[in-house]
Amino acid sequence: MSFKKRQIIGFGLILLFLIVLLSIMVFTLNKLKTNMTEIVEDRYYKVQTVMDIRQLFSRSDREILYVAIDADEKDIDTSLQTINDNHASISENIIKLSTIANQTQSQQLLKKLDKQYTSYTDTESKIIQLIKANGSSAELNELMEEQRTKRLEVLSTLDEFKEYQEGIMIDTLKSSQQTYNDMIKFTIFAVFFSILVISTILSWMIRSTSKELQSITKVIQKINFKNLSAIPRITIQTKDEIGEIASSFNEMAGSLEEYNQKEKDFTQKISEQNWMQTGLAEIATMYQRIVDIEELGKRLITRLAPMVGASFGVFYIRRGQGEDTRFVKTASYAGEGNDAGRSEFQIGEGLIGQCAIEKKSQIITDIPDNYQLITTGLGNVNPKSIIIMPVIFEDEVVGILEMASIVPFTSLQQNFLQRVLETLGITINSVQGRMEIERLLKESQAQTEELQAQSEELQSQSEELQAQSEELQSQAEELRMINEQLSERTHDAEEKSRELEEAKINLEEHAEELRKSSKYKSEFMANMSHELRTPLNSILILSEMLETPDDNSLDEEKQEFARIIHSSGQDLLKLINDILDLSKVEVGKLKVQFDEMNMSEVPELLHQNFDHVALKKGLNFTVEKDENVTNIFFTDQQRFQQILKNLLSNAFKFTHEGTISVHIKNAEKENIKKLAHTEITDEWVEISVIDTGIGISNEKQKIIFDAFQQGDGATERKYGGTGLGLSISQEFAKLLGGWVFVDSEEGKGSNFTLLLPNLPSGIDLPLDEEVDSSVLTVATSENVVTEKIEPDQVNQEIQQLTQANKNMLSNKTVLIVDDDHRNIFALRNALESQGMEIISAENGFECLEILKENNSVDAVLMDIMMPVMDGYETMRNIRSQEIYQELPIIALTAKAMKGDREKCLKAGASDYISKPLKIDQLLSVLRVWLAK
Amino acid sequence: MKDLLTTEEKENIEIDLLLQAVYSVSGFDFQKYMRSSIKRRIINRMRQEKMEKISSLIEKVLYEKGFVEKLIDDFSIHVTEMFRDPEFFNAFRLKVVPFLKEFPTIRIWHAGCSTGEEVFSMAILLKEEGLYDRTKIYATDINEKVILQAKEGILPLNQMQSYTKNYLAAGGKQEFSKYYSTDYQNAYLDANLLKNIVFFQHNLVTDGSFNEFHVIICRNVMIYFTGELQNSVNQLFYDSLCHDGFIGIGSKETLRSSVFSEKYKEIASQENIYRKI
Repeated sequence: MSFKKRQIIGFGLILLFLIVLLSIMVFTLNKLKTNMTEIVEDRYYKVQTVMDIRQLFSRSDREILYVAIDADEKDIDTSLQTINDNHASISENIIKLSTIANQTQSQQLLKKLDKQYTSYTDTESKIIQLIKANGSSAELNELMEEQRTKRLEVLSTLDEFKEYQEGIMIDTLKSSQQTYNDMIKFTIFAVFFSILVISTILSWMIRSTSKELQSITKVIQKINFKNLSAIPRITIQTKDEIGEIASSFNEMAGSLEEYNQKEKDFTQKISEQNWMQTGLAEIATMYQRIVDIEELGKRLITRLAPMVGASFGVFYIRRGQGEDTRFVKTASYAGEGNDAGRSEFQIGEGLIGQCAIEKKSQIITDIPDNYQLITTGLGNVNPKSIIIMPVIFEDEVVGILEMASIVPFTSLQQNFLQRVLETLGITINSVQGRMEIERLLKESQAQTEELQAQSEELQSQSEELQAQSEELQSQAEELRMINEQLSERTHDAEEKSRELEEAKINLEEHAEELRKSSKYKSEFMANMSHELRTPLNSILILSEMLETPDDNSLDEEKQEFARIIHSSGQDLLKLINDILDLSKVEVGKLKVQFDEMNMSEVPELLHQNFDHVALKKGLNFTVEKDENVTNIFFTDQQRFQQILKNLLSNAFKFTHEGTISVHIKNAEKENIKKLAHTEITDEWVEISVIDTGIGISNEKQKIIFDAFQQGDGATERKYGGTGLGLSISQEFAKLLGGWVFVDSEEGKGSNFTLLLPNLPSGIDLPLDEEVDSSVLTVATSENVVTEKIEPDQVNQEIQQLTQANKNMLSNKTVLIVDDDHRNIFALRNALESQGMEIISAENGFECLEILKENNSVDAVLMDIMMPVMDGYETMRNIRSQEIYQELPIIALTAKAMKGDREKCLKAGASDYISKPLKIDQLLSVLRVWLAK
Repeated sequence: MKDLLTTEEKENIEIDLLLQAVYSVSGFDFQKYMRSSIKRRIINRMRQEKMEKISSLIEKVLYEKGFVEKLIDDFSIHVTEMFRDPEFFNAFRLKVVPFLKEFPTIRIWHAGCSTGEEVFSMAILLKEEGLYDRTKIYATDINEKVILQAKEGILPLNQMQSYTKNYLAAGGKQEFSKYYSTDYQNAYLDANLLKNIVFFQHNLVTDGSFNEFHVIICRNVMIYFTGELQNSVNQLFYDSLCHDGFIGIGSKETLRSSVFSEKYKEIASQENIYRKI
């Protein structure tokens, strides 16, 4: 019986019992209700009606009685009316009762009643008629008696009926009570019975279902979920739903077992796969950082052999090209030292060589017993399986791997090897590539370093060369200078000699011109001397007047002063003449007048002129004259004295302490020999002016006799003077046939010596003045030539040349761009003092305009903050022009502003300095940027 | 036995002998210098002396006074400039200076300083980074003459333009002109810059370490050395560097392929600044 059926039957039975139970109860209740209704509606109603009838009857009787006794007309009518009404009601009630009376006895009683009542009413009617007809009282009494008898009959019938009905009612009540009691009993029984039946059915149902379920649960609990390979089956006992569950379970168990099996297989595969992948990854990781092919081989074989359970392995790498191709053993596993396997083989040589040709793996399993290869400590073992596999890269065998094992290689191992070898080709190639790269890198590094060394050497050499070339350049410069000068001089000499020729030819002409010009010059000189002499004259005259006063108003000292004024004035006058004369000397026009002079007066004259100077400066001043010097001496006295005074003035000027002495003596022969024209006389006097002053350096001694020369620039500044003195002295001395020479040591003093001939008949100048002048010039130029050739002097000139270069700033043009006039003014002053040319612009536009028109600007000083166009924009604009790419632009920035520097440099500034400017720094920067 | 040696073989023997002679006479060992470089220097000297055989140089080395010094001068190349390879100084400023700021005192060895330009540059850089006052720079060179020159702190005026450009390219923070004054032919470095620099003669080939340094700069020196000498000098530097110390080498040099690549990590690979691990 199926679970469903069982349920239907069980629950159906329960339902049925419930319905039966309910039906019985409804029936019982219904019966109870019927009993009650009968009692209430039927019996009670009949009794009630009977009671009504009796009441109405009694009333009617009473009325009749009333009427019969004493009644007036009116009351009789009313009573009659009432009697009639009652009569109607009684009749109606009787009819009503007869219709509902169902018992035979009741019917009989009712019929009897009806009969009795009808008879009663007849009597009654007779009474009434009698009364109406005012019958006799006897008749009436009789009738009344009759009526009473009849009334009693009716009443007894009524009572009988009533009693009968009441009896029935009690019976019915009793029966109803009985019914109720029966029903209670029945109901209790029915309920108990139903409970019993339902419980039985339910227990049957539960028991039958749970029993089967339990058997299933037991089986399921028995399942080992960890091992789903063997699941217990449920024995199917029924064909109901639970039986179906069991069969489904059995099916499921079946498929679970199947699935489990599949899973196991899959896991197996996966783990194999994993093993292979791990192995591959391990091998691939191992590949990394290997830069050497032998290293690769070694590591590969030592890693690979244990992985595939090989006991022996050897790895060959392809070497060589074309016919030379061979495979060389690079690594072995468990080999007997170096002897394991062949050290190399060629393509096609043996099985392994064949493998290289076929590019296919070979597995040898059928190995003869005597093929002993694998060495253990105990002996040699016979391998069961040998595998030879090619390593292929780009369809070429680049290596071969051979392995042997004492157990056969599984297909997984073979597969794994296959997979490893697939990538090995690429790795070998890349390692070889890497080796090559490494080698090249090392080579290139070595080369780079070599190159760097070479480049440094070159740079150093080029610096050396630069230095050498500079040296050479300066040497070349020297040579060029010398050459230039030489050629110039040669050229000059040639020119001069040609000029000489020409001069000879044009002598007359020149002479004429000279005469003319000399005439003009003389006139000019005359004018000059006149103009100068006029004021001097008054000085001379007045001082002379003071010198010889008539009234003795001046004391002696002041007279002395006046005398000095006078004599100095005269000296000045003479000097003026001298200056004029010097020019005359230079054109050979100065005349000297040889006259008799008393040499013995010289010391006094000198004392007179210089004692007060000596006194003032605190110097010793001595004049000494040798006795053997002739007193009468022929020369130009004025020039002679001038020379001495010049020399002494110099001596006093440059001496601050010590002694100045003058020594007059006959000239020493040696000194005379230095002169050219010694033949003119035998009598020479030598006057030495010796001081203990600052002295003159050897170099300077050569130039002090040149016009306007002093010891050095510093001397000039310190001591003042025109520098004419020595040159005039020398010129004069020459005119007098003599010479002035100097002997001095710097810092110790000087000795100027005047050598002078005694010339009673004057000097005979070999040429007349016109010719003389040209000869003089030629002579000078020759002198120059010979002099200039001396290297010292050349160097000097070069030095002077570089000296000029030294102040590299002079004559350089700087463009100052600044909107502040004061800045421009200050910079202008500072830079102009360095000899620089200054151009100024107030803003960027002006600056660009200036640069457009003027390309001689050497450097630009650029303020940044300017109206109209600021420094950055201006610089960018300048740099955008081709010709100003290298123009030094020095930006002047305010220090306060950060980021100025980058902006300036970005805009194209060469350098920058910050405000407030320091002149030294500015000049440094300018020197840097104007340096070549 | 060979009948005749090739010219090259002869030259090699001669060079060996010459270098031996130089070593014996002066104590300066050039035997582990790059042969190619030495050879060029020798040939250069021969050209200047108008000689045909290297052997004649040996004679001069042995017998001519002052010649060996001249030859040593030839062998040591003095090429330098201020802020040479500005990127190096820039990288130093950006990547090394932040670490140096952590040290209370800083010792820098500038090996092969030549005439000192790069040392001065380093001084300027450190001054601008506020480190100079606690820095001591030991600047050494094999050549006494350049050391003397370096001590002067005088630079040729005509180089200053390019030095200014280098200074700016190296990320200079100030006005370059603040660090020098000029006359018509030279620029004179501010004496303040020289106060923490010690110049002295030191021979990388024969002399050992003399302190432990935070920074070693040796740029374009080892390019003249053979690999063997390079390794021994590198070892010297490694031993002289404190832990986490820095080494800066020339733009064309490298520590990458040498055994020292493992011992240093690259701080600036392009500019060749490394840090000891």
